[in-house]
Amino acid sequence: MIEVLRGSKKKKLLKYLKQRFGFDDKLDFVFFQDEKGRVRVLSKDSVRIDTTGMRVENLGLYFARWDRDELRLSIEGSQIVGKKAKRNVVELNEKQAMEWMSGKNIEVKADVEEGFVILKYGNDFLGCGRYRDGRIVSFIPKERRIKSR
Amino acid sequence: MDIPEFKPAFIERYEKLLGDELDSFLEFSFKPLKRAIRINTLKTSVRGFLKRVRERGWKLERIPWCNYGFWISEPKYELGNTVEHQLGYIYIQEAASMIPPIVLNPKEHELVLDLCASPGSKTTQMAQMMRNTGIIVANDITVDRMRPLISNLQRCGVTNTIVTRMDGRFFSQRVKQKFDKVLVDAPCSATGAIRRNWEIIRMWNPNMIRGLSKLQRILITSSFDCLKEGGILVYSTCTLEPEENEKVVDYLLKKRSEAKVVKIDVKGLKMRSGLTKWNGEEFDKSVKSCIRIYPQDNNTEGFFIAKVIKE
Repeated sequence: MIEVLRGSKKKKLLKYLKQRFGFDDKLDFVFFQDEKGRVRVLSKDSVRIDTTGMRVENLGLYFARWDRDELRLSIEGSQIVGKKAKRNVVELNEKQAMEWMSGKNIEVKADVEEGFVILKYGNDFLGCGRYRDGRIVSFIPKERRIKSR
Repeated sequence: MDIPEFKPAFIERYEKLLGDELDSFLEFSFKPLKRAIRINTLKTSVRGFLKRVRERGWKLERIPWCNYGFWISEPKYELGNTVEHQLGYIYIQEAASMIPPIVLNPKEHELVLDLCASPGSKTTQMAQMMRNTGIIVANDITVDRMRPLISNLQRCGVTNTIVTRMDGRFFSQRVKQKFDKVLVDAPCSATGAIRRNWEIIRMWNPNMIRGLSKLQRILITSSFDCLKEGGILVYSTCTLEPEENEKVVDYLLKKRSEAKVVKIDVKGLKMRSGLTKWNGEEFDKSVKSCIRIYPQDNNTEGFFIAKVIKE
């Protein structure tokens, strides 16, 4: 079952992004959430379409997932939010970025809060990981990892 | 892999179709395809991306008919295993496969149907042309075709797509919504893409073409019925078989009086006119405005493209 996020549920998501990442830009999408807490975003033009008779398999882009009361951004979610994020963004060096992209957890010294952080290398936003005690746990999906050449 | 032999019936048929150019067609059918990428402007800019990768020694040559398409000669390693691919900055896509969306030319805020969408090369290209606005309904028929489609849409950061799993033959009967534009990149015998997969030579047989032609005629009619008045349909295949191309368009013109073929103009592309006669059959004269692209024309895969307006 998938529901359109409105009212307090949508506010909760936007409030989280603001508090956690200092993100207060406009997100010009229709938001959906399924029973597993996965949040998807879809173009606002979707209000103009009548889906009667369609067997819908997927709506828009997987943006994030609620993990208890924290929001774990997808790689694309981190790219959308990351550009305007003001805190809890960890800048990696090249070696760390490559390790991260190969799916490894990484050790870093960063001035960030415990919990989910956005990973960045140069202008690239590389997804979201959970930071604790100097370590970031990777959530890069297997199919998005770089294999050693 | 050993080079398979063409069946005598294939040679006889293609000699009739291509005349003096048969040898050139066969020669190009065995040449390796030039690797090509499309820069995904939903996530990066063409200029910024070129600067980034040229510093890393990538060698790129612009594809004449596509501002964001490039042939790539360096690096030699698998492009699917690069950060640029995994972050969605590029889509590995054959140069001729970029043409049908260019011909359809979807605009911002339009409603578009992509009837046979998987694996999503053209869907993601259209999403970038539409700047992630409007809506694309990306349809395909089977569960196993959903996974690559959904995964490519995600990687490319596409936010304007609804994926559906339906039999395209019955789409217009089941769905009320009408679209500004429809793309049907139909399943086909793929004789224009032999250089991608030599197995196509082994699989080819006249019965298969008859079966595909029947399916394509139903698909083109169903997709045409999904258009709004004034809407545009692009029908494409990567085969050179007239039964799967001109004959299919001719069938639509006979079945739907409001269907009119529109002339196609793609700058920088060598192309030929559609056939108006084949194997003793005559097609509507306007089918001449469809285009055929042979592998030897632009050193790409072969393609057939028709553009039809619903008047």
